[in-house]
Amino acid sequence: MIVLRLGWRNLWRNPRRSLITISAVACGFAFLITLIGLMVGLAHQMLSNGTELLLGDAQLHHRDYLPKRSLYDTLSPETPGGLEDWMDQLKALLELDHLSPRVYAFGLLSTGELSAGAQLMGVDPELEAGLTSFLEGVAEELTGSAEDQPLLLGDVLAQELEATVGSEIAVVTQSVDGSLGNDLFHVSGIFHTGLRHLDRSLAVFPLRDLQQLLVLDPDQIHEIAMSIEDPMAADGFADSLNKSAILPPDGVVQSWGDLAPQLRDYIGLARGMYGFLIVIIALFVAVGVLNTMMMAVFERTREIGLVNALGMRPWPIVNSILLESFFLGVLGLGAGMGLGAWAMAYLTTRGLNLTRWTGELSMLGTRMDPVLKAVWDWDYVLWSAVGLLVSTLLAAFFPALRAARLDPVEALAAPVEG
Amino acid sequence: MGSKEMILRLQDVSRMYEQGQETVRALDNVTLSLEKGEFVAIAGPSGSGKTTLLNVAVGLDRPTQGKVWIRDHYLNSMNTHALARLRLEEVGFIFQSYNLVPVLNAEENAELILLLRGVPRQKRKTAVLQILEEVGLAGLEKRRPSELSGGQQQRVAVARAIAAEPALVLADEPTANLDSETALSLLKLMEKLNQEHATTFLFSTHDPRVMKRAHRIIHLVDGRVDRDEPQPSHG
Ligand SMILES: Nc1ncnc2c1ncn2[C@@H]1O[C@H](COP(=O)(O)OP(=O)(O)OP(=O)(O)O)[C@@H](O)[C@H]1O
Ligand SMILES: [Mg+2]
Repeated sequence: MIVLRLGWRNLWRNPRRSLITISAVACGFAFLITLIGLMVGLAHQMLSNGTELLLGDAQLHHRDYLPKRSLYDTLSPETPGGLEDWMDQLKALLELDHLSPRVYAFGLLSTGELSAGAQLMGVDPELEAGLTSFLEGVAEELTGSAEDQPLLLGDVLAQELEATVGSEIAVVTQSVDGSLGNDLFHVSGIFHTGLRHLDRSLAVFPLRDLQQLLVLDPDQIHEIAMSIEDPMAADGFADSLNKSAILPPDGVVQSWGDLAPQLRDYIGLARGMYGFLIVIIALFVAVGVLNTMMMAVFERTREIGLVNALGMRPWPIVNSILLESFFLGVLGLGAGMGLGAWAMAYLTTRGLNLTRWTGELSMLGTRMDPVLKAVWDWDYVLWSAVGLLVSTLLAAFFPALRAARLDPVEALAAPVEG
Repeated sequence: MGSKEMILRLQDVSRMYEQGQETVRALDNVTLSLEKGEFVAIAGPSGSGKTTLLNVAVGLDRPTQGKVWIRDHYLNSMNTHALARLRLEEVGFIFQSYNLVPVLNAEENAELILLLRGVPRQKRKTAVLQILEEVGLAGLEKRRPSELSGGQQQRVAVARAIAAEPALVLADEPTANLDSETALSLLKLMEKLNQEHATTFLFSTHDPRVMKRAHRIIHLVDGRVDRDEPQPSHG
């Protein structure tokens, strides 16, 4: 009780100094909350852009398909009901949100005067729209289009070919039977992903049309992209699916982390950064608290000597000083939480608009939204709070021990605070 | 042997300080003893060793030579913790000034020793309120030291020293920072408590008027006991 009273009242003896220290803790905490919030937001954004744009959370291929992407390494499930039936089974079994079968090839597009190489991609527009966003706004043009043999082009590619909606495009490619597949298609829509390599190289067809061009069976595909509830669980999901019997014997599943290792590296790195930031800020705060408490103990030399002389044991003295800085820490964390929550209220809803500086930007091969929104991650908020509080207490420990070890005779001879 | 209980005993006590090449003898072969209920002044000019004597007597400082007892506790063989414990149990302190913990009010300062001894709250409260009244501070219990005059602060220190009914109260120049009228009334208060509680007082001073109130005066000169004489005018 006496320890509590001393700790609390001593805190307000030099209110200015205490308030400065409290604000230092508060600013440190608010800074950690917002900065980590923004970094987590960035990581979330990169992950969701990376996976939602085109990748999906995991993909199934023939085991030899990657990285060469050979036309011949197709998958065809051997269920009686064919591909569609098999996908339904898979969905039901794994409680998958969405999956989308795809076929790929390389080919030459030409309008007569102009031509360009392109990556040809065949998708089921409905399934694809449920899984990814790169065809947002134009997916229905592949099904509902009046055009015979519809085709979607990336906007840069369309520009290169000087093609617009309605333009006729001749597509030439190698088919699996060794013949030269070629056919006429009509541009039914133009998409823009913001990722240059997609916008300038991707041509998207209805799945069956491309399969026919490539002389593939309806059940033969190159890839099935899948999305699951929690992208962070993709590795475990891929592992368990790889062990399951439902997979065709030559099929292999890879998570987004395997497919885009740079993305996984970034998220790992970001996590390391959070810890590093917490340590740095905690160190700053510790220096501030150490300074404050050293001064406090120094100013109180005489009265500490007095209670020492009276016979007060060292521990209550140590504890009252630790408690004082505990109060500093807790008040600082409270204020910092308020400040941080206020900033986060803005940053999570409005976000930071980076357009002014960056324009459209991509990072590590994923398109970035120029408005960066922060995301609360309570684990890191908690770790920040714990880190700051521990550093506050550790920083006070040295002055506290010093106080407990003061020689009463010398301390009583010390000058007195005014 | 007298029937009186021995409270403090110093035997051939010396305390030397190394000052560069020189050795300062702050105390030089001091032998003295105090019995229960005595009211004793240590007199002497500045630097004569008064503070050193009081510090050594209660184990705040250790003698270079010689032996010290408080009642039947032999201080030489006790460690720092045991000495702190002994002070808490047996000794009350009044220092020259800034005796009080600034963030505690008069009542809390006065009850500090009782609190540290672990006396239950209700008992503490009754004892402290009574002793504060006794030292003339009724009504000022909730004031912080900064809101009290120098004399009132010293009275709080006296209340704190006496509240736990120690065997011995030590006071190092308790009146040095007070005007003579206040000093005298503090002395009278100490004397009254000495009479009523049979508490042994040992206080240092170089003020002749304060000295006169003592029942026995120990004169220190250069760390030696020059004279140790009773004051016939008192009991
Ligand atoms: N820590 C110390 N180191 C060295 N010398 C000391 C120390 N403390 C006291 N002395 C010396 O011991 C002698 C006695 O000092 P002490 O403080 O006991 O005197 P005092 O009678 O209390 O004086 P005053 O009336 O000024 O308080 C002095 O010569 C002093 O300089
Ligand atoms: Mg002195």
